[in-house]
Parts: sequence; structure tokens; C-alpha cells
Amino acid sequence: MNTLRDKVVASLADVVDPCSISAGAPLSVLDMGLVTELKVNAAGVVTISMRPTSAMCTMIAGIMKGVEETVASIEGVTGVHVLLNSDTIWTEADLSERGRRVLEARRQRSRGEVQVKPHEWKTRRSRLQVSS
Amino acid sequence: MLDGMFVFNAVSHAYNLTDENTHNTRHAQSLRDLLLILHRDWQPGIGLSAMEQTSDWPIEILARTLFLESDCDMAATHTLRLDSYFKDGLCARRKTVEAVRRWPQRFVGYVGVDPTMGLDVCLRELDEQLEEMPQAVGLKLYPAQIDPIRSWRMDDPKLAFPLFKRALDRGLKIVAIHKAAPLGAVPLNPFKVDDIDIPADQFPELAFEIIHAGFAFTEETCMAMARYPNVYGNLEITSAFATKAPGMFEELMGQFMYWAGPSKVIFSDGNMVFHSQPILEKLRTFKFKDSTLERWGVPQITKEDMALIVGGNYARILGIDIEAAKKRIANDEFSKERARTGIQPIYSNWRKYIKEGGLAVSA
Repeated sequence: MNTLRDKVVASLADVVDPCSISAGAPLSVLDMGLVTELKVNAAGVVTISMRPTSAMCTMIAGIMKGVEETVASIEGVTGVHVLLNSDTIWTEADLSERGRRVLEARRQRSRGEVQVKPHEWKTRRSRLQVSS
Repeated sequence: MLDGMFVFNAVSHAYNLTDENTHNTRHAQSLRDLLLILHRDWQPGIGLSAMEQTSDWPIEILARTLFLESDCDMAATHTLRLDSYFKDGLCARRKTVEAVRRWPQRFVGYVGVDPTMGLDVCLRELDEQLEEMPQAVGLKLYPAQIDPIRSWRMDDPKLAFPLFKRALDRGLKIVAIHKAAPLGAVPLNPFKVDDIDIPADQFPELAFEIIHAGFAFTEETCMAMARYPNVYGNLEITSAFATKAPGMFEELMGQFMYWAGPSKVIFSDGNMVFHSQPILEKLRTFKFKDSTLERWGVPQITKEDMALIVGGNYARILGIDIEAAKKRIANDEFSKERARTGIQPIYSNWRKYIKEGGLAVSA
């Protein structure tokens, strides 16, 4: 049964964390683990609590606005309250299973593209010392 | 000293967060709010109220907070050029000059320019500031400004490279670039670290420190630190994860150790936004959990590793002999006072100064 809650959850898949886009691993607010609570009451009022990835996140206001506008556009939703949850601390452990897969794939790709070796600088330093 | 380890705090600031100094614009006000919230929330229960913080922080209070209330032995302080946010740039040049002139045994100073003003202005101001403060060791830069929003890149051969060359020619040893922590709801791209590689390669005699390393773009930061001998991760703000979010701090340190090793990480905290001592207490006993050792395949962190991180690396970069530095501070005014009083309570000097009416607190 496609409840109003189901529609709200589905809509949040379209709200993407902007930093994840910059990092090359686009993830929705759900996959990022930014939504800490979601309530839908009988009157169609939706209340969503969200946390930033860090206390210094400057994007959370824009993300919350995106959530509010997206959810408000769903038929049957009569009101939206998006609240800031600053009580819990986000860590990578809060990523969804899909989020972890996307991020790890991006990291693997980055390592493959750049071909960096751990502590590679020590080799370069040696070369510099030898040549100088 | 922290259990015998020389502590060299690589970033400390005496801000001016007064209403009068903060531009009356949305982004500037937001950045000030952000700094106030950092102070309140990342080390909860020990800081000053927002009203007390919205003042002009004296350099002497910074010095006393660092050297009487914590185990910091030396510190760097930067002339900041966030001119589009704060009228004096946030940390005025006169404060940096005062710090290195009054306490040369304790402070090293950075000059600051704003590359969005163009090369000619930067070179002129660099020279002027170095005439005034020839003992400066570094150059502090921000990647973007506001009103209008504008930015520049570290790998710009016509703007950045001549500036780095002048810095090198004038004897500066290190370039500090603010990255990873966007200054408000402004475009994110300038705060990425994708413009460090070329200058690091072009200027091997200069060290480059990525300020706020690990706050965002951690993997890219690690890769720069891993590849270039002269790229370092500076822990300003991210070190406060040790008190605010220890799991996140451990994860960051695991990545730094895996990719770059203990020789590439520089301790700092941005004191007085954060107080050094709670962070240093965490570092004193910091060990990786078995799960972190397994995840990153790194050896357990040793006291020798931590000694590099909290001061050894930064001293080495600047060419400062730690044993000589210890002798210079052994009987200075801070050592003498601390010998009398012991380590003083957190933020006690700042609170005392405000209580005695020494600061013009904004209404």
C-alpha cells in the first residue's frame, strides 16, 4: 500500500546532499543518514528532523529547504516542518548500505585514477635529496 | 610540554568579533554566528557566552590562554585577511606584530594577503608586512571572498606562482591555505584541495599546509599529503573532533597515518575559538582501537609519532631547534607565572579580563 509516508520517503530520495555531489558520490539525504526522524500525522502534516554532517556544516539550511519544498509538493501533504537535530553526531556509520557502497566505489575509483601509494612522499623526498 | 613532548600550536587567533568589526551582510553575520556556535558547542560547558565572545580579543589574552592554561609551549598566529567579512580581516596585522615582538620566544607570525585583490596589491602588501615583521615565517591565504563572491586558485601561474616566489625569496618557509571548511553558504569549489598539487611540485622549497585538513575532502587531502613531501595536514578545528566526536577524529587519524604517516600531520586548534588543553589531554592518551588498526592497516600510534604531530613536525618545517626553544622559554614570564600558579583554569584569563572591564563587550 502506497501510504503518504511511503510517498514522503520516496520523495526524499530526490533531495541530494550537495557535498556528496562535490565529492563525486551523489547521495540522497536518506542515504547520507541525515534524516533522524520522520512523522506523518493523520492530517497530512509531515515533521522531519535532520542532522548536519558536522557542527560547522554551512549547507544544512539549504538542504532542509530542499526537503521542505520537495515534501510540500506531494499531494496529500498539508504541512511540513523540517527541524534541525543538533543533538546527535553524524559519522560515516550513519550512511545507508547503499550509501556505503556508492562512497566506497568512488574511493576505489579515485585511488585507481590517481594511483597514489601510501607514504609516496618519502620516495620523492629521497629523489630530491639525491638530485640536490 | 605534554608528557615531555614539545607542543607547538600551529594556529592561534585573537579575533575581533565585535558588531563594529563585522560587516552587516548576511554572509559575514553568518560566519560570526558560526564561530560563536563552534566555541559553544564543540567544547560545551567551558566557553564564554556569545555576548562575551563578540568582543575584540586581546593578543595578551591569547598568549595567557595558550601558555598559562595549556601545555602549549609555542604557537603561530596569523594575520587574517577575511576583509570581506570583517573590517580588520578578523585578526588584525597589529596583533600578529605585537605577538612576535613581545614574545618572540613563544610566537611565530604569518603575514596575510588577499589574492582576489590582484597580484600587484598582494606583492606590495607582502613586502610592506615583511618590512614591519621580518621575523615572519609564513603566509596565510583564504581561497575566496564575498560581496561579490570571488575566488582564486593556488595553481594559477600568473597570480599564485609569483606570490609564492616572492614569499620564498623573502625567506618565508610555509604557505597556509584555508581549505575544507566553507566560510558560510558560499560556493564550495574554492575550498576543495584540487589546486595544491602543482604549486607543491613547482615550489619544493616551500611547505604547504592545508588548514582544516580532514574537515571535508579528506581523501583528496590525504592524497596530496601522501604524494608531495612538502604538503602537510594542519588540524585546526579538526583537532577539536578529539573532544567533540572522538570516533570521527580516530577515523581521520587512521586515514592520515595510512596515507601520509605521522611526519605529515601538524597539530593546531585555532585557540581561542577552542581551548587547547582539553584537546591536548585527548592527544596525550590517544590510541587507535583494534578495529581502526585493522581497517587502515596501520601500526599503533607511538609517543614518538605524537611528539611529531604536536610539535616536532612544525618545528622541523620552520627550522626551529626544539631544545633551543625549550631553553628560550624556560624562564620567561609565562614559565615563571606558571611555576607559581600551576596550570590555570580554562579560559580563566579571558573571563578575568572581561570581568574587570578590560574589554568593550558589544551590546
